[in-house]
Amino acid sequence: MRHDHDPASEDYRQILHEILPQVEKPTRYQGNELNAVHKDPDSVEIKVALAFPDLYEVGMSHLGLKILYYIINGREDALAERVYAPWVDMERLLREKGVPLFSMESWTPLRDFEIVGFTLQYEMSYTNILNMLDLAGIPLRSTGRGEGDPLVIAGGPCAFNPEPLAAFMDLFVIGDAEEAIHQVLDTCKTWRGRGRRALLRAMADIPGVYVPSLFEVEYDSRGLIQGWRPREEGLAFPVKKRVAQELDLAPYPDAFPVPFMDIVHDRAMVEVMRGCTRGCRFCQADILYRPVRERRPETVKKLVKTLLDRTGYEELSLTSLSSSDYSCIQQVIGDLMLQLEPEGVALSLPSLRVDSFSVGLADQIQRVRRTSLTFAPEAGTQRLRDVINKGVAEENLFDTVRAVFGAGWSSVKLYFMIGLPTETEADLQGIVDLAYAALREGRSARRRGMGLTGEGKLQNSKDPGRISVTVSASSFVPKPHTPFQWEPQARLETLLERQEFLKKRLRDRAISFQWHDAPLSQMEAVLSRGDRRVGEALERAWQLGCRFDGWADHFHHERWWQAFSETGLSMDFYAHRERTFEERLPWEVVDAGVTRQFLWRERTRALAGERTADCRFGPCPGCGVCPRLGVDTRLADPDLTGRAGG
Amino acid sequence: MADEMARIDEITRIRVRFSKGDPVRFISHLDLTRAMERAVRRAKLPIAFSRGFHPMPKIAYASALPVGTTSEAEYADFEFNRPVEAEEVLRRLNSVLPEGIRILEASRVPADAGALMAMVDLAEYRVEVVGWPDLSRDRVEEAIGRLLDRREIPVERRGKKGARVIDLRPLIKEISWQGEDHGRQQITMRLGMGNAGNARPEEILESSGLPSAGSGVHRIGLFVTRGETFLSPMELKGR
Ligand code: SF4
Repeated sequence: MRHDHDPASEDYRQILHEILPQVEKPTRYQGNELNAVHKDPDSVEIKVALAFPDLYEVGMSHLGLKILYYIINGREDALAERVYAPWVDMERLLREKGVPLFSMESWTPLRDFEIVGFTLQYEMSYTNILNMLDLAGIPLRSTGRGEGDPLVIAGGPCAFNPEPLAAFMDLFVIGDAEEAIHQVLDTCKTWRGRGRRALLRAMADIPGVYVPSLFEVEYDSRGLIQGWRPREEGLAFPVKKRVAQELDLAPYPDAFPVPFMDIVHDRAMVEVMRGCTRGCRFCQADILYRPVRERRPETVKKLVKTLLDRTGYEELSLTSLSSSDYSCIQQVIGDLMLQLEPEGVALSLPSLRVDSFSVGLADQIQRVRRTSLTFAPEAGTQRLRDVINKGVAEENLFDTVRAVFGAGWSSVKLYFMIGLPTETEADLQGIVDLAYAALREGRSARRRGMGLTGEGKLQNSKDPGRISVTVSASSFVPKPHTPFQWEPQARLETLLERQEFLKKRLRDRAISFQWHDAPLSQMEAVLSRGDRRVGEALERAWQLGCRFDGWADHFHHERWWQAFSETGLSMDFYAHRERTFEERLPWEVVDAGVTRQFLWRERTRALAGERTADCRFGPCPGCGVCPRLGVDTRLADPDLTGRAGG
Repeated sequence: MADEMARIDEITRIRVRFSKGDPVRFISHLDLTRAMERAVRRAKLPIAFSRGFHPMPKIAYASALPVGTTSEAEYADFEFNRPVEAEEVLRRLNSVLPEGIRILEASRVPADAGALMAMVDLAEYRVEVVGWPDLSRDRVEEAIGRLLDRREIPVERRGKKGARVIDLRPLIKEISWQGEDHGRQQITMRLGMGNAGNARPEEILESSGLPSAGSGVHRIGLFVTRGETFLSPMELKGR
């Protein structure tokens, strides 16, 4: 056995006791939270480590892993434990003392699990995955793993382009994992011990499972992908995403582990809806989670009650990609406020749509104006908003801002993207103009005296008269499976110039301007549309010390640039090159349900500034998901059901 | 909530002693208060809330336990706006508290009892000295003796306003060797706390030249000095 030289796990525990007081936030690794599940490892056949490749504070805020934790621990024959990326101080101590990466619940070394499953939420956490595997003593590459090693699997939105991680993962689960995870566990039970290759071959027969080692990629002389050659007979290709059609019946946790320390989103969450068909052309989630499926209001309310009873949370969030679009939102919010207000539980809606209806919802749920409201117009002019199909008319935007300040908030946050296809200086100027217009609206609302304590609302601001506007500009990253998947990303110099343009013009003291690190967005563009060769650069970057790249202070672009030059790869090729319709794209191994023809048509319409309507409220524009995957849109409001169709 | 302020004679104040055990040894005081508030919510106890923008449940602690220290002598006063039995508070909280936090005693105190934090002035700790494999009883006792012989024990504290030096000596009321367990020397310390200043057991170990990193510190008592006697907050009953 490989692990002969290891001290017994009791020794590890002793060492951990000694090193934990030395790290910055030991609670990140302590475990023992309320509702954490501690099962006897000897009582189950399959142990799964659910791994989140970022800090505890980030990972514990994520819903997907909580759902899987609940589903797996609901099985008698299996257990799931959690593990997060150790912060740099902890990593140093683990390496120094020779302690392998361990799970939160039982402090079991990761390599003693049958399955280690990573969730892929963000490309810039890929180096953390390699680092975690290395800390766990699990061979980085799938081909280097033997019988005694865990099966390393991954899922989540970034799995829709699995190729950059192909060398490191034994398999990917594409799409909703609620059912697929059972099949993966069952197959693992049946085939374990009968040879790793046989196990992987059996896994490949599960719908939605992609086993990269069973395919070989062929490139042409220009370095473009020619195709994938299967290494075995009868393999499904491309791999179709899984869709939980009956979201209302899908398993949902009745309790979450409740952290002791402060985390990013420390609250109970109920997912009211999955999917969004607004059709924003830059948005990957829009395509990945189609079609829209809603939970019934009764189910939502029942889940809310159970979760609050079992967690004691003082805040509840109704989550989805765009919760003001949930067809029963008004009714659910009304009912919940009646129930929650006397108990002192606050309700929150992440991601508000830009319209006065959403402001009305926020008004209903935020008795105290604790926070600013955030909206995402995404682009500064009507022309560019039409290009990206962001359904926000200029007038809408002003109505929204007016409503916000009129209802007593004193600050608003506006999200934009720079570097969008067809963007010109006029569009940037549009962002500036919108920011100042919002400020004027706020100030005149304040002068009219409406906003001070409007309708008895409490103001909680040091200076209630002061209006402020925050403008946040991220850099556009073209993503796989979107109408902009063929587009070049704006060059680094261009992005920096455009940031400068905004910085110079957004100088008012009442406006704060935030922007994203441009080299980071460039790396994100490279990784998100990368192919298998990018995996080499990724591994090299990790060797050069890259970790926690998504954390601005820890991102070292020069290490990445070095990694690319050493592996002979060009970042330009991945980030800044325009692809043709004919080119085979790395993520073609995954069928997200939407056809390439639809995406191309959307791209053409985008460049012509033509809008496409949401299929929930109008005719089906034929993205392909419903007929091709045999699913359909499910709205909770019976009056609306049937209006949409594939 | 805050609006339905109960009549003063309905306000019930329950004092509890609770433990913070090994499973939660690394959580901060803020983490602990959050866990306690959520437990009160789950237990559906009629806790009173403060008024203002952020109504806060009325739970007042005797002291903040440092991260890494365990304790069986933490105290808190809970204010309820409906009558509730101390026994019931204990039972209902224990059925929902996370592993490692346990209510050990509960009893009613007058609603106008003084604040615990302002009253406690002495803490007792059991310290297991870990770090040197062959540490003998003699060596520990010698180190303690030498420390107690000093007139002044200046240590540097870093606060918001920069570093300042405080004298630990007047805060040391008693230190004694207690026993040995698996080669680890155990001592107890009675140290002053509160308005007169706090002494931390780790500082005492450092000042006496004993290993402090990795040593297990466990609080076993908190007291209010009344003349020659030391009363626990439970004995105090608010007067
Ligand atoms: S097939 Fe039509 S109805 Fe279904 S998600 Fe696509 S656009 Fe909407």
